[in-house]
Amino acid sequence: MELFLFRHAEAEPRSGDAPDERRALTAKGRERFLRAAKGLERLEIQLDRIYHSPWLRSIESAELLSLLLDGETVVTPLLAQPPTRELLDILEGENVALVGHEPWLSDLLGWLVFGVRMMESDGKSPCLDFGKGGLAWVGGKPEPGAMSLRAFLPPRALRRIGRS
Amino acid sequence: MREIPPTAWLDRLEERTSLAESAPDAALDAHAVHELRVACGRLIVWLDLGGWRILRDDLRWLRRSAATVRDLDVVLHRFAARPWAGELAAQRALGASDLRRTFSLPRVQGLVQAIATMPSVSEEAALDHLASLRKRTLRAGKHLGHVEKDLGRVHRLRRSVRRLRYVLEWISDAPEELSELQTELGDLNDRAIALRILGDRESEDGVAADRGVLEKELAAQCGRIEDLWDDARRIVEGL
Repeated sequence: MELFLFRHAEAEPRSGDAPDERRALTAKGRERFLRAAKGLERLEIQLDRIYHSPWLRSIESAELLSLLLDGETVVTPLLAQPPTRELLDILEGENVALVGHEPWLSDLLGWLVFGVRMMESDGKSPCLDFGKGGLAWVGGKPEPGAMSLRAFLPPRALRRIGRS
Repeated sequence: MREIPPTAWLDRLEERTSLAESAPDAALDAHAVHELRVACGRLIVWLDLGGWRILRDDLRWLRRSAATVRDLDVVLHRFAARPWAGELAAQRALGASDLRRTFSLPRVQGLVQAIATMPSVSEEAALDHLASLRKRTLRAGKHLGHVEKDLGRVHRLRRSVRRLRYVLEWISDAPEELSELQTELGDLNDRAIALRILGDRESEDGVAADRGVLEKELAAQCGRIEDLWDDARRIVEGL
């Protein structure tokens, strides 16, 4: 399986009592993420499944990513919490995208590639700089320690590919 | 411009899917299953109004998950007392258990959560969508005179009318003529489903006679649908 881990694009800042899960993408975040998706299209990456969290910024990012999709989208709350075995068990497809949140994506990446959980007890993941709209591309069997890191790209790199 | 939130049907979806695996069979009766499917259909249309691609697959998946039980309900509603219906009732009970297990999957919880976070749809976008759907419905009804030869045309019209009614009801109300036509088209589909299920049991005593009755009713119903479409078409043209 080729697995593309995406962090959602830039979202509105937290404000007052508004629920965190309802934060929408900013216009800039939307525009940049779309350009990044076009960069992947230029690399002829096609997805057969997109899993995303039920939070609005992830929904909107997955929607933008759907231009690469020839298949199904699946919503799962398992991407809005620390990664679990259950998340790995539901993954199906050959070219699969996950759209989620930090610090859980970094934790998942470390778990899949090195077999170790990277999240510290305070919930931060200092080893990886998973920027908003960034991508980690791994390949292999979706099991702890069984995947190889193929690329870890900041959003700017994807946008440049889209432009070139 | 008014904003259209998904609340009305999201609440029903949540209510229907909140049944635990341990809930009694009666909690997942034919009405509950039907309403679950209707809620999914209406929310798919709501997503269309907002121009969303996302979450439609999840709603379609959930709708499909309830299809077997719903199809059996259609037959059992009318033929539950027949000697050949016992096995279908047993299949229905198994299907209902599977469906309750489906409700406990994270995907279902995620779906309800996700729709609850989404912004309302603007009435302006809904009206734009209505214009294109109106044309599609008129196209689907264009060759309805040949219904007895081609049930496919009726099913195309049924799907189109259903979507049009849902769009209108998200915006305000659907005209009575359209609702009446959709109800008749829905009944026709139920008969077509019953015929298919009975077709698999043709060799059992009494099934052929029941199929014969259904076929005659279906033919008569096609004629009624033509009349109802004549009335509804004028309404659709004026939308």
